[in-house]
Amino acid sequence: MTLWWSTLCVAAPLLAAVVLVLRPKWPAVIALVAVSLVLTGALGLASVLHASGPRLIEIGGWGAPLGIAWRIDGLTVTLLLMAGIVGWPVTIYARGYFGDAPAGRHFWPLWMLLLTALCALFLSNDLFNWYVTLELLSLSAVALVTLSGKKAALDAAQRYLFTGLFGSLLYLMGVALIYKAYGVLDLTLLRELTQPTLEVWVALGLMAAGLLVKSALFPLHFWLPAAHGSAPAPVSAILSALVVKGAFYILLRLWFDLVPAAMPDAVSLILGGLGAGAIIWGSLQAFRATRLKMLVAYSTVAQLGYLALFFPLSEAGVWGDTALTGLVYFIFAHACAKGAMFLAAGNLQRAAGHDELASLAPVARALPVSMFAFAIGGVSIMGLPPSGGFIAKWTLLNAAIGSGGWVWVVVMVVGGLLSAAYIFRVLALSFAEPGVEAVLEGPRVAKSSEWASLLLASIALLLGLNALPMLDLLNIGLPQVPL
Amino acid sequence: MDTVDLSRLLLPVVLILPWLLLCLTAASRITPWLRRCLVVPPAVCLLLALSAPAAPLELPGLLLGSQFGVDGVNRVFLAVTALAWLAASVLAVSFLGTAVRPRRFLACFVLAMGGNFALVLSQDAVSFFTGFALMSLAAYGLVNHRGDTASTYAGRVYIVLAITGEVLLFAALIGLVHGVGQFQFPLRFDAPPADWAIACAVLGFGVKAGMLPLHMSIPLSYGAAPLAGGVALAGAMLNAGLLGWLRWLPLGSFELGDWGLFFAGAGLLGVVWGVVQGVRQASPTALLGYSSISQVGLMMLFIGAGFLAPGQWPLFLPLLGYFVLHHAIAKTALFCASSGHLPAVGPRWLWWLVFSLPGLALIGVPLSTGSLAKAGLVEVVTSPGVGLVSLAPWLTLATAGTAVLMARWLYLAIRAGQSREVLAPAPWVALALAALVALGPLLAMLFGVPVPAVGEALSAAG
Amino acid sequence: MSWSAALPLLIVASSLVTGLVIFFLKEQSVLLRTVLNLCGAGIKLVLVGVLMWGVYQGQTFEARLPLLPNIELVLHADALSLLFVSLSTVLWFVTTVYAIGYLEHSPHRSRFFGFFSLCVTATVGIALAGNLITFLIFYELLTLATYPLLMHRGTADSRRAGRIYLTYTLAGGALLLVGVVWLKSLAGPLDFTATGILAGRTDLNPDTLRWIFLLLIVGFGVKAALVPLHGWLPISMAAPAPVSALLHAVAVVKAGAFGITRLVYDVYGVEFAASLGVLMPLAIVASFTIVYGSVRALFQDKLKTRLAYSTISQVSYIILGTAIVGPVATIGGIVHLVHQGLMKITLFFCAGNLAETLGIHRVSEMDGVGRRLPKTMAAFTVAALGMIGVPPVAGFISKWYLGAGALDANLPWILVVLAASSALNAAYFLPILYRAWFRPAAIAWQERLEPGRFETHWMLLMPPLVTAALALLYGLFANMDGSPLAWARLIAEREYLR
Repeated sequence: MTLWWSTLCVAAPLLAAVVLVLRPKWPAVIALVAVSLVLTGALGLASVLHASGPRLIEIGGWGAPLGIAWRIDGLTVTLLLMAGIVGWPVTIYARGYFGDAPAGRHFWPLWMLLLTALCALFLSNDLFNWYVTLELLSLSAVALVTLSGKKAALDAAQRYLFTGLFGSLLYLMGVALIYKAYGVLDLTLLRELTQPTLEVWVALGLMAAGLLVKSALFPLHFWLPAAHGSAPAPVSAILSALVVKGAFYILLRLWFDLVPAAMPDAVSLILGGLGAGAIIWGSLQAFRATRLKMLVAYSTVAQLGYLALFFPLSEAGVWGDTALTGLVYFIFAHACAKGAMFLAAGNLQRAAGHDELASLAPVARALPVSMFAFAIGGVSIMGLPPSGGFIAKWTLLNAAIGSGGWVWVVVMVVGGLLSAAYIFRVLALSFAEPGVEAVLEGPRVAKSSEWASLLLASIALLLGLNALPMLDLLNIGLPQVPL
Repeated sequence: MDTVDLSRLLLPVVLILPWLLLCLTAASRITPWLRRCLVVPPAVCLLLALSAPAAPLELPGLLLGSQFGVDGVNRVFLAVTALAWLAASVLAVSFLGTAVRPRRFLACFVLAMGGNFALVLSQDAVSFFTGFALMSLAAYGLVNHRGDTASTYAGRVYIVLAITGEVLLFAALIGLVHGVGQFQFPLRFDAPPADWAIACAVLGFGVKAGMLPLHMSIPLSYGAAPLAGGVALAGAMLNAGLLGWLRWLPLGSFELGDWGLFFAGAGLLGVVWGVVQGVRQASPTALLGYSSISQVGLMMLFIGAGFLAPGQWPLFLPLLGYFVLHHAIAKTALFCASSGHLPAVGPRWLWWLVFSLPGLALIGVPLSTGSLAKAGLVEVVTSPGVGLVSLAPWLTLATAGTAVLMARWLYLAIRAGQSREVLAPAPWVALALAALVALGPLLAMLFGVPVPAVGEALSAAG
Repeated sequence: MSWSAALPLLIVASSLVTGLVIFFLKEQSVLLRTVLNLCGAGIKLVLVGVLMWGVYQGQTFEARLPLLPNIELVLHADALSLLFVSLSTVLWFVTTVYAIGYLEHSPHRSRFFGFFSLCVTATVGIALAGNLITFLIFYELLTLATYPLLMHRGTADSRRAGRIYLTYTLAGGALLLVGVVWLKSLAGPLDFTATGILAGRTDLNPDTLRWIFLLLIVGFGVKAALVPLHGWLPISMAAPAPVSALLHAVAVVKAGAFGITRLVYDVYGVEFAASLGVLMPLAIVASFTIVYGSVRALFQDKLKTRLAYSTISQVSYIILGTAIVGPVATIGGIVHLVHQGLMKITLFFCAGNLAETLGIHRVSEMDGVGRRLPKTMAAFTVAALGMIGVPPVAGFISKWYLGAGALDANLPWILVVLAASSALNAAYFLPILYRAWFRPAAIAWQERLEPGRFETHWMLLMPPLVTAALALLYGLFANMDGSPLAWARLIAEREYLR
């Protein structure tokens, strides 16, 4: 059953992509079915996990090192669930957003391809497979960015492409070094084999650098705001919610399986420091942004910093487990919240014909549902209850305080306040001076698009009501425990 | 009907009637009938004072647990209060017919009356404080009814002092009563209370009683208020401060010599200052205010004696009660007479002769209530345990001063002529009260003040 | 789910669901919205009544929902929560009536009443919260739900008010979060218990506990407007009158004060907190706030701003009562929670009536309004006298217990603070009464509105009359069973039970 469910997660979107390329009719329905199947697969895997625990499965019957193995554990399944859950409203939204526009014809297969790559990435357990899926992910993402066809988008896509390629190259070099040294790429095997030699350090350094570029950790985030800010709204949502998390997922796996215990503390401190830098810098940039989507994009830069805070926290024994819980919850909640904010921002942009914050107020008042969605997403981003973001922040704070990491506590608190500062800049638009009549210049916003953004935001909210089911799932086969 | 039953019946009626009247005032138009209703509560109250005391009325749910009733201490005050409010009400019924903003005056009048009745009848400190506060604040409406510059100024002085007094009393309430652990009068002190608490009570009630140097508002407000208000202020509310001292201070339990001397000193100062300032006044009512300050100074000597000789306090108390009765009735009569209204019947000189009777009583001419009251005062001051014998000559001087003051009042009142307020009943009220004063010895018997017996007891003790 | 667990949830849900439905109503569906509003408030009133009856019968009501490992959302009805929950429910009902009348013709009413209901949901959640984490969640929700109400008018003033409010409350909330997480990581689940969770925990470092106390006090102190964390409150007067009323009497400010009460009594335990030495500084800060607020109020000409500074001063009475060790002061502090609520909401209702009926916003414009709005001003008078502490209005009862408690705890200087505060209260309230009743009426507004059957819209008139009457009755019959004082005594008995 495990094999069947996991294959479903990869095969369904792949098949959908092929179908959509060949016969682009009812694309949204097909995509929605595919996303639903991914979700079904993830839920199936979850039930299997609950029943019989984590496992490695071998594709085609060949075991490592020759064949490909997939790792099915709590982390994998949680992230697959995330992809499915975020994918649903985004798909509904995209139908209303693209309508019959030509850009839409390209969107659907690319989106399905991206989803395929992402699911495969989450399931994979060897370095080369990750390279392949990562490449596929990046390329489909770049293609999606270009969809709007505007010059800014093309420039951003170009930069995104080159940065992505550069990151991949670094990663590939690291993989090559490892392969040269040990002759295997399967992570479970490597875990047993790797020694803290210079070669391994260099390889890890290269891979980490490549992945950090791809996951846009400060100060390697330079490509992100432009790409996320200029892409069509559903694409922005997908990029911020899902794509950056792919690279980070690989980094996380490497951290647990490949990084030797003898690693100096400085490394995690540096990573944490970069995270802190990201939080502060990203938030300040978001606060200074003049365009709504740039604001949201810089918010992503800031939020990604929280992911990096995990590394120093993971060093502190029992609090490390807490930190991991918080991290995964954070990834999940951020995906929903940020996705919702981008979708809502897209609605506003659509209705106004632009996204200049200074003159967005009438539109903000004309689209209360979208503003509401933005607000709820913002609540989660700020880490205020009741929301998934609150649970994540609570857990991360708990780990930081428990392990005495007061610097990180301060960073998180300040980051939360800064995020409030930029989010309320937007929310204040709803309360413009009475008497300003809304003049909608852009096309009408589909009702389904408005409600899709609210749906995704509500999921971020619901995540804050009871964390136990997800934490139970996550705790099945923690990544730090070898299978 | 049995008198005991009567007083049990009257007690709640007296407490509730003013509030009923307040509701009527708020809800309906000010009709002549409503105005006439004003005399009902004080009349009932007078009836209560005259009927024999009954068991107190316990209202455990009210405030922090309240008790109301008539006992040996407040009975005289109840009578005085009822009489003064009755007089004031009679004047108010007439006054309100032509007054501006009658509803406001009526509301304040009734509020002050209700508070005054409640405080006099209260058998616990919190109810007392409540009634006192209501009365003090509501009386602002009486003082500053006219709204001209003078009464606004008088009102401001009055309210500032009243609030100061309230705040001090609040502190005193906590300092005195909370230490005792019970609200019921008499407060049973295990040890002498803290001096700051006594000081707060002395000053807090001193504002109302016109103790020097907190007397400023008295002449101002007497002068500024309409006559109906002035009568209530002078005849009833002044005595509330005095009753407060009697109720709250640890009189008769401890020898507190310093406080005794303080009262004696402040009292004497009041006596002198009242006369000196009084004769300089141009308005008869303001003069009466200073006269009150002077008379309260005399009454403070009783309290001083109580502190100096706590054992004899039970003997002093009825004497003080008699003094209060005498002074309040006389002062109320003088106030009513100050209106200058004379009825058409009888020659003018006869009326003025009648009106000067209460003045003569205040001076203490023989056969008046004043002579008995003064005799009592002398008894107390010269009683051996007290040690204030040296004050005796001052009392003579005070009598002389009062005489001057009263002569001046007569002059001013005659010269001032008829006041602008419509107060037809004023002379008749004054006449009735003057008659009461003249029947002083009868009053003494009524309230069982055995003046000669006190003298005997004192000499026996000496 | 059993009835005892469902009831607290239903109480919270009754306004939550109403609020969410109202959000999606059309602006024009006035009748439906009014019905929904009143039904929500009425149902909550009934449910709270049932809850009180049940608790009186000795039932315990508790709902536990899992949230995180070892952390539950707990809604629990104890004596203290009942006091606050009944206060907020009753006042919500009254304020709803008032708000419907007040906003009769203004735009965005669905949004307003939606957030209005959310605001009350949060307040009731705070009241019923059974542990510090639940408290924190509703506390932050309150911040969020209040913001749109403050911003409702959308003028530059109200936008500024909203921004400043958020700056203060979010910063306070962040510190609160750190404090709660810290305490949770040391002491485990933070379920409120009558004598304090931490009392007797000798394994915890006292210095750490002091730091945590500081964090939490600052977190709560922002909403409770403790000086110097009070800056947002006077500015937030830009909001419509019902919002100010709710903010000052029930929701925001009270939530802060209630939090401090919970913190001292049910988390630290008052005697343990005293042994840590944290209560004396709290008492000093509260005293300073009391005097400072009153002094600032003296110089405000805008009526609502004057009332706002008065709130700063009055709410600190609650905190002062909490900071003084001893059951008597505890009674004073807790009972003031109710008394201040009733009196202050009355004052704000009246201020709203003045603004709405006559367009009067300043004290200096109030000459003679007593003749035009006698009932409103009578309610105002009762409440103002209560604030000063004049018996028999309820404020006196609070002051008496606070003063007596201070003397019991051998802190006579607090008596001076109370006396000074009373005098100052008189100094800024009596001039208002003087103007209203004793000054000749100004001509400017006299012809503004034809007085109908009532002096103003009945929905604006009834609420202040009801709350003023309650303030008077709760003082006059303080010693009766079922009065706030009786509840406060019961609570104090439990807090000091060993």
